[in-house]
Amino acid sequence: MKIWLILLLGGLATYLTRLSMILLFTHWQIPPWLGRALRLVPAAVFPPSSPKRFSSKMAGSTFLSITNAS
Amino acid sequence: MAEPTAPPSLRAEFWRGVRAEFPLLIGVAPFGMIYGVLALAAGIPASAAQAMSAVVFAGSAQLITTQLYTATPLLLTVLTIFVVNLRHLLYSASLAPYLQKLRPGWKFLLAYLLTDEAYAVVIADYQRNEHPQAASPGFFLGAGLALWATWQASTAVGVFLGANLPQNWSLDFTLALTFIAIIVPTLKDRGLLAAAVVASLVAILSAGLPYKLGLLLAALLGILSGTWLGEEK
Repeated sequence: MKIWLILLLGGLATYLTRLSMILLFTHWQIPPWLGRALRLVPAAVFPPSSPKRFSSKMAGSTFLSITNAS
Repeated sequence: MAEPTAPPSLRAEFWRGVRAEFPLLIGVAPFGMIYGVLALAAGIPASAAQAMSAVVFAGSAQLITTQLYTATPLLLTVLTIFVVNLRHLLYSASLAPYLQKLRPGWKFLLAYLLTDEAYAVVIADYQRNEHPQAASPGFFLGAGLALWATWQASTAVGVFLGANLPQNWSLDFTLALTFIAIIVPTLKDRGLLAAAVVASLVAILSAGLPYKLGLLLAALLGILSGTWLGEEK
């Protein structure tokens, strides 16, 4: 059940983000400072989140994970 | 050259978009398969894993969901998906002038297809065109649908494989490689590099925090330091 809610809410949030500026755009531009910050999002999110969590579901597969401490 | 010529047909533009997207599909297919395998490994039912590819349709957010699924509260997971996908705000803003004159139906459809991979191809093509108003929705539709079909199919293959892989196979390494392959080529300046390094360090240091708060903290501090260090030229 939880996964379906994640899916629906996450999907809605993603779709609205994608649609937002296409729909709202008239004269307003994203301010440069916000643009610079948004550009950094993938770089700041992916490397730390790499190998994790699910390894605990698989016994004996915890090697190579620098974040095993979590 | 300046003579107004008949615009290319929607169908011709569609196939031109499909062709332009093609090189990216090769990189996306393994990514979709890995997502499918990891979703099952995280205990997500096959039907939900496949539906997520259709509804969320955002590879990075989906991969992170597989990692947060078991241990993170629902709203924090949704918030993470939202934050990870915030960059689409930028894509949306940058494509908006080209889509301004289209009927609302086109806007609703193309927004659904606005992924990193479609954006990269579409903005490059639209920017080559001198007149924003002449940008073709067909090209966007072709590029977007080519990616969409590949993503759904590769997820299905991954879900199928995931159900059949021996339970003791480790996929940590595969996932780490995928993230590295996606991110490293994009770290083109000091700001991006700082964001990646600082976020990684903070994530390691804050690993003890509950609910994966360390991940959000890492992202925020990474973005802050990247913004700060990126300023100095």
